[in-house]
Amino acid sequence: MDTQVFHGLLWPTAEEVPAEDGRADFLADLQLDRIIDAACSGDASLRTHFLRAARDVATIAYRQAVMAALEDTTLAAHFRVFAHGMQGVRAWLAAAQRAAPASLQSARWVLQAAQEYILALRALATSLATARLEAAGLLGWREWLAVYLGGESFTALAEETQGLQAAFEAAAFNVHLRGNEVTISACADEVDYSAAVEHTFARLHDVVPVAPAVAAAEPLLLNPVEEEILACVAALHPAVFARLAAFRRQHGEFLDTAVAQFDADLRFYFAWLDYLAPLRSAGLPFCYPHLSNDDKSIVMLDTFDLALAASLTREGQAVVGNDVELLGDERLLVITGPNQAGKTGLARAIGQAHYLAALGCAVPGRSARLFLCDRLFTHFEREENLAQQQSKLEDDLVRMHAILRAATSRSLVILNEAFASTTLQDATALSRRVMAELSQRGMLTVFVTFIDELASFDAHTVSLVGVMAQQGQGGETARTYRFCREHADGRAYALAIAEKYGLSYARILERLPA
Amino acid sequence: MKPHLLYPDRDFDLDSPLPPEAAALTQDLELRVLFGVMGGEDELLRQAAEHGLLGAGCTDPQHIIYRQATLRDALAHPALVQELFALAGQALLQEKSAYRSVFSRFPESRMKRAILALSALLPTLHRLREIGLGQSGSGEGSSFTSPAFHKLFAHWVEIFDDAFFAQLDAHIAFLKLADGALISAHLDHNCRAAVHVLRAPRGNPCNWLQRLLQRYRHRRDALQFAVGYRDEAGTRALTQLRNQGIRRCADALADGVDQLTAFFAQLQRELAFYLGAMRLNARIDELGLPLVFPQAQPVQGGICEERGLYDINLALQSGHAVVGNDLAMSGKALVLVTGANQGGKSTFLRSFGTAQLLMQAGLCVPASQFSASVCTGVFTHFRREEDRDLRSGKLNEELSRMSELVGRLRPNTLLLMNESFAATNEREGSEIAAEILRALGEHGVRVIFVTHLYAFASARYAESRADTLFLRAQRENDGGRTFRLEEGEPLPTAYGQDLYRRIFQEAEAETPGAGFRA
Repeated sequence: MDTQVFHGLLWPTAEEVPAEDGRADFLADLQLDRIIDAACSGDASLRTHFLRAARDVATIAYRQAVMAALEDTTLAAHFRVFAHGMQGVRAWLAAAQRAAPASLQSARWVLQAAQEYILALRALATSLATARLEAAGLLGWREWLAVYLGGESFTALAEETQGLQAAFEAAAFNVHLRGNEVTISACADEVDYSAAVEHTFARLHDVVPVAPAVAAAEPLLLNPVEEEILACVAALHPAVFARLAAFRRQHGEFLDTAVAQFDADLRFYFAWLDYLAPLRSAGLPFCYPHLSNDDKSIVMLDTFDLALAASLTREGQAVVGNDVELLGDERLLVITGPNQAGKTGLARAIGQAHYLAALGCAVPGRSARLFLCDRLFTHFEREENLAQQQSKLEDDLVRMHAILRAATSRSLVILNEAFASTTLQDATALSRRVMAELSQRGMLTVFVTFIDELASFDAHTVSLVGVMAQQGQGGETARTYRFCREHADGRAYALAIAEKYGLSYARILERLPA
Repeated sequence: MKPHLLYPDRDFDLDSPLPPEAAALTQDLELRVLFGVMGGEDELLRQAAEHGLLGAGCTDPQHIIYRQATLRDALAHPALVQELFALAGQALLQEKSAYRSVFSRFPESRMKRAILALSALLPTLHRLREIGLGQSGSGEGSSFTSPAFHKLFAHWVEIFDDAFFAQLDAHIAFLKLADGALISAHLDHNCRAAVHVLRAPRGNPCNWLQRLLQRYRHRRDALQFAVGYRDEAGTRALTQLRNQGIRRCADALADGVDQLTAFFAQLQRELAFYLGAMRLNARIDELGLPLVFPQAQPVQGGICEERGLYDINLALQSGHAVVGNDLAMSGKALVLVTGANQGGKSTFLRSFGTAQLLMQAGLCVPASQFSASVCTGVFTHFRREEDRDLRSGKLNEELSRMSELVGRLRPNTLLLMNESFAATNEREGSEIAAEILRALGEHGVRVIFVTHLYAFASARYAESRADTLFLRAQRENDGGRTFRLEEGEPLPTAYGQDLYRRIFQEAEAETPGAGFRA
């Protein structure tokens, strides 16, 4: 890798892919839009990162390595400190941009931005110097950073920033407030009276308290009195302010594009890790999937619908994971089961994992082996609309047609209760025709349906059936389903067993501490 | 600056809620009578008594000795203790009217109020110094012997010295800021004047303003502007600046007042506890009953030895002498009390629980002699009379109460059980009791169990274990009661027939002291 060029943490080379249309059906159907919104948590600039999935295994591996490295909280802390510092830099520069060009404040903000920039970069370089890095993206950054920090322009920036900073700190002054009169003058050898009072009362403390720093959020702009004081201080210390103006002229554009890129990319990784953090601490497993370019077998252990898991975890409820396997020449997964069994959730989970994997993200489950598909297509029921009842089937078919036309043999297609608005016989026939087409083209397909007989469509078909899972504790017959690979013959419904618990004497004895 | 009258190293805490078992203890041991005597009309005294007995008591015999010594001093110097209590209350009242009356977040007004409060507190602080000088180790008039009071008086002499009072006077004078506020600052990253420090010129602060004005006139680097009186925004900004300038000073001053206030408040609470104890001792003395400073044994010692232990609540309520028990229960992990109805079993249980609480609060115990090992907590599981009509529901209620207790019964806690599990038939109740008590015993929980569950008690008796003591309420041959407990094997009858006869045949004479409950 060229040490003079750093392309960022998302793309190992300058080559980039266009962003997905943010309104694509599959984003809403798989609730990826909700997941992405939550992960971005208000930072709109992050969204495009989540809409640009990688197209090749190498890029995904590049990202997975970075993401996995940042899971080490000790290492991540260095980068988080840096990201936080850069957030400040951006804020100061934005403020300076907005202000009037002649404003003394805005020049000071550029200096502040430069100071925080230098601090953040140097701190990061110091902490990375001894860190064990393995991810190519992070190694590339460390090399680039070392060269940049040693460069002439950065050194000059750092020197002048420091000098000016010191000049400002030295420019102390006294304010004498008497009635409505304000007098600014140079400091002499006056006594710190607060310290005198603190000293008097120190004897009353068993432990001398540390006065809390009053970090009241002050407005950026000065009030009229502060403006006048600033003008007086500028007159009291003219050299300092002349030097500040020169600094802005010379170093105003200090922010390097590669640093900006790195900072932006880093936020993508932290957005995802922070999104997963509460789910992880609720005990949910996540893994970095193995992605294949040519092998269409899929193995997902303990996977779950991420959007649903996020809301269940917030409410303190348990999440049930499921295993999905398509091995050999199995291509078609048919999911059946009772109402509310979580069929849609499982279908979503499969789609979400494939999309998120292509972003380089950790995905739900203990382990996952996925196919790097070229595109994702979903066919979910559109919102019920009584006025258009007649055209609903038609709408279903139009959308299905578009999917079949656009999809390639490398696409993943997820169909959810297609053709529900016609008779069972019609729905079965239509489904069979679509499935025949998909099967013939060898496409990976997930088919959620209420029609049991579709579960044994052909030799490439795998049937997953929802059965009521036995809840370990609590005793209430919650609708918690697990999907089992078995023939869909309706027997699963009979497996629903409720466990009874009562407050028995034996239970009370169990609770006695040993 | 802590009074530390109850613990050598800790405050007496009245703010934490009482532990969950407190309500049951109060009810089951009928402690309201005791709290009534200790507290009387005074809410603080009552609260101190409740927290002293039911809050975290002493589990270290050394702490009990520490309190006993403090109480002895208090009993010997009632007038001074009363004065200190009054001084603390008065100081708090003054501080409240000067300082707290309108709470202010603005440093300017906070400082003004702190100055007022300090001025008001000054006489009290002088008096504390005086008392300290009179009573501390070097003082010839000192007759205090407890480490707690000694340390307190010495501390006052140490911190309230001449330098302290001189500095207070200087601060009170200067911080009125009659000549305006001189504040040093520099520009922060926003070009805003920041890191304000209130300054005073060196040397004599009296004519500092004149000197300063002189300097302004002779130097080119003094710049000046004025804010128009009608300029509201400007005036507001000026006020804000002034507030920022004096904030640290105001905080330090207010913090000083807070420290003093906190001290007086704590002193008041801790004295309230001892005043309550003094009232209790006075009342028992009036009744002519014995009270003794108990000997607290380390936690591992099993249950206790006692002589003439009586129910203090019953004595206080009835206002006359009551029957006491002499028992040797040391080394026992389980005491099973069986025997005659109305034979004084519950009274014994209550008197023992109360004595244990009093001892661990560091107070005197209603007995002629009392020695017990400390426990890590006292819990009660009493049969609740009011639920008698709901038989099946009642067992559930009892079991769920027990189940709640179980989670808090650490080793060496003392559990007092009164007719637990009587809400079902004897066989079932006995089985439940046997299993629960086996588990508790293995866990190291000490239990005193008043029971009519003969099947349980006799089976336990047959085991003849060294760590179990069997007590029986006595019945004289004519059916009369002595209200004393003595060692004895459980009997299959509780002589309930006696009660039947007493009520149905008026020939049976009523025994003195009737009013005991079964």
